[in-house]
Amino acid sequence: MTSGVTLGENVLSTYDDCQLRHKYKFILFKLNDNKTQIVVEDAVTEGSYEDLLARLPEDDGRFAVYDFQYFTADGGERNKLVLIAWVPDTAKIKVKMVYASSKENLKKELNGIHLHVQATDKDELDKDDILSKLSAGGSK
Amino acid sequence: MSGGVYGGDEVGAIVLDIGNTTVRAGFAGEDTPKADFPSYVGCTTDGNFEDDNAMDTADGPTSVASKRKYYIGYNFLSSPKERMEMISPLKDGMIDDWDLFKELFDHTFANHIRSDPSVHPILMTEPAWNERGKREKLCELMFETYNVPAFYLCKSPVLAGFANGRYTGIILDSGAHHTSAIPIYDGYVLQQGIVKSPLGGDFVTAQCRSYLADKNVEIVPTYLVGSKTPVGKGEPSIYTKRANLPAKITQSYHNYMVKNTLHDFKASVLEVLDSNFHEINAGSIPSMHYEFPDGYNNSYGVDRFKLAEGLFDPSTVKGMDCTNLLGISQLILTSVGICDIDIRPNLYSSVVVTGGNSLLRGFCDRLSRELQNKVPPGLRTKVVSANGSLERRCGAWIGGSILASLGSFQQMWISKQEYDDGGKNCVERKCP
Repeated sequence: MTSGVTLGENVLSTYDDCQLRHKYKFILFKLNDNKTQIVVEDAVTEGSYEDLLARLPEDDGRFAVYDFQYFTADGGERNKLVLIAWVPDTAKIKVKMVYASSKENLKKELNGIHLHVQATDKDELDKDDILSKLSAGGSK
Repeated sequence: MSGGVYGGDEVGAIVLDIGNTTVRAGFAGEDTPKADFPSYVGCTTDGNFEDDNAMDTADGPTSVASKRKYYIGYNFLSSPKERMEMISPLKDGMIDDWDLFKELFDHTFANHIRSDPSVHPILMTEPAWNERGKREKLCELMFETYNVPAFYLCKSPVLAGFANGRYTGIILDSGAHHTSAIPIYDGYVLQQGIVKSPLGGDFVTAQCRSYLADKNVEIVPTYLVGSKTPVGKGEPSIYTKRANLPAKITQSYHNYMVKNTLHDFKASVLEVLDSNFHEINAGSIPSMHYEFPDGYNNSYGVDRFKLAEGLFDPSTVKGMDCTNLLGISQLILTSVGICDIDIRPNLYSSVVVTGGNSLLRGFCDRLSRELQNKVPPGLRTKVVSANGSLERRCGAWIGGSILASLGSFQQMWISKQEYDDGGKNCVERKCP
């Protein structure tokens, strides 16, 4: 069951720029004011994972795609995309409802995501945790 | 898309959530349900009402069903009526008595919504294990009998999960009749992983009842009490019975009222310890004082923990064979164990607690502590629950209210048009 929200027009093109052309390090998505569309809030060319975390608001939801780069045990370089659904416990119930019920709509349009993370506080976004999941193959 | 007819945000949709204890109904977009009344209905079958039925019987034979008279809502149920039986339309959380369901539905619209169902889209909740036949029947009833413009059926655990910001996780729903652990993944129920146990609110109530019976405390519900005299702690009560009570009060009505009294006792006194029950631990916590409607009062110390302990550790229950029953945390472990190994960490990290019975003091603390000890090492557990009692009791309603009011949701409804084209089985396709 989903909320039926649609994707804003530049969502897919921005995502392609990130996935195929590695133009962005991370992208932040949010729901528009009348909660009918997922739109791009910002696409950042240079930024660390910590920068991304710092931009997740305390009282509002966000979706984020981050391009993780890491090295395997034998030295090979890897790039993998992680989709984060950020729905903090401190957010209003309406925010929680809208973001939780819309994630499926975003997920099914974005191809090539290696790991989906559902997070309600920053503990669940621990970098080492995510890296170990990525190198283990990630979940669907 | 035919749903485009309902393009605007202001469609005045009605959200209806029928629980084992109460019916919640109201307009989508509002924070709390407009109506919250018992789902138990008082029912009298006549001949007893000679006064208003004398004419009808002369007209010839009328069916028994048409002579049933229903009483719905707190006002009617607070005083007994002759031969009034208390019945519920639900069985195992699903609608079983359709006549009674229609009565509740009509009552909701006539007395609370004060409008006609044919002008409001209706979103209803259903248990995760609702059967296909019942879903289709409900859909048919809505469109054929009530002529609703649009309809949607939501699984209540999914709504409760969404309302807590989770689309993947285990929903632990502890209601009156049972407690269930329901895994959801990306907003869909994983049917094979549903685990249910009869240890719910009614079970705790039964525990209280047998405990008080052991202590020779007679439970006198409010409706029997005319006046009472204060008595000292633990002394037998002194009260006068209310005058002008009708002659034939049914056992089911009495039981219902006793249950309500015990419910209050339970909510005021009982508490779950944060670790396994231990006489010494429990003894060090202050006791609680409680006065029953008839004036009998006492304080409850160790026992108030013992009574709730059965939920988490069924082996402690006296007088019942509970060896096969699962405690609350065991329910979750079993349910997760059935699911695919890849998603287990995601489930453990989002345990959403909902349902009225989870409001017992200490319930969530105990659960999160037990889970931490029991889940395989290295996995993170997190127990989330709404704080307010209303949010916990009506989690599914509130979720449905927000969902149905979203502009984007309007394309999801089964519209009258779609029903006319596709028939009742479109409910399977549109409302997974």
